[in-house]
Amino acid sequence: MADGVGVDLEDLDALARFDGAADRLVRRWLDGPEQAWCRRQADPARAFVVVWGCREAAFKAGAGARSPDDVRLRLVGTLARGHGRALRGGRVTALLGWRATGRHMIAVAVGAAHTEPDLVDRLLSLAVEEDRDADSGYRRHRVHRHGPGEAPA
Amino acid sequence: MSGTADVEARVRALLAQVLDVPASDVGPGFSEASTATWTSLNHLMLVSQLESEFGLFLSNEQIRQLTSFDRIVETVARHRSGG
Repeated sequence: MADGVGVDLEDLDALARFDGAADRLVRRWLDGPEQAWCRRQADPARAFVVVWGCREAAFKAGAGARSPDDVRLRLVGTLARGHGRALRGGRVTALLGWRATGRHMIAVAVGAAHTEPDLVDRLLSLAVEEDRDADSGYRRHRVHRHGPGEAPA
Repeated sequence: MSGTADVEARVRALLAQVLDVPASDVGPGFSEASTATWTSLNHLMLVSQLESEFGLFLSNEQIRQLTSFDRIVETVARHRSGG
């Protein structure tokens, strides 16, 4: 069972310069429930970016896929924040969450082997804090070391 | 313009547009490894535009191999020749 941690950061407006591309990307790359989630959001281009960022994070966490386009997600939330599960063969392979921080979206996923309560939320808080520091021009270099079963410092 | 030259010109224009780089930068040797804007999101956009421009449907395996100008031109040319 996957025990990795994956983080991804995307520019929410990455698709803004491609007129009408979002609908095509949603149909081409997402499965039915992912498409339905995107259709419920106000901005389909940003919705696609959120789904893709979550897929990247789940893939990096070792969600049992060969690439992010093999990951399937079930999401609950809005463009601003939410949580979800990554699936493979009907089984949950990773838990994930995301938040929008101004111009970025940050997604964090942890392999399903992790059982610590609120781990995704705690890692998201750290990632959001780092992104805000970077945006304000104040970069801190911190290393978070933790293995499976250990909470981050 | 020969068939291959036509494919190269259209692929060059498409890569320049999607990756937001000057068309003059795109040519043999231009690759994902040396292009900062060749992100995974832009790769999806690139595949979507290639399929639309050339009337293709690319498999996951082919998509993973589209990592350079040369490979894209080769893949598109092979499709167009029915290979």
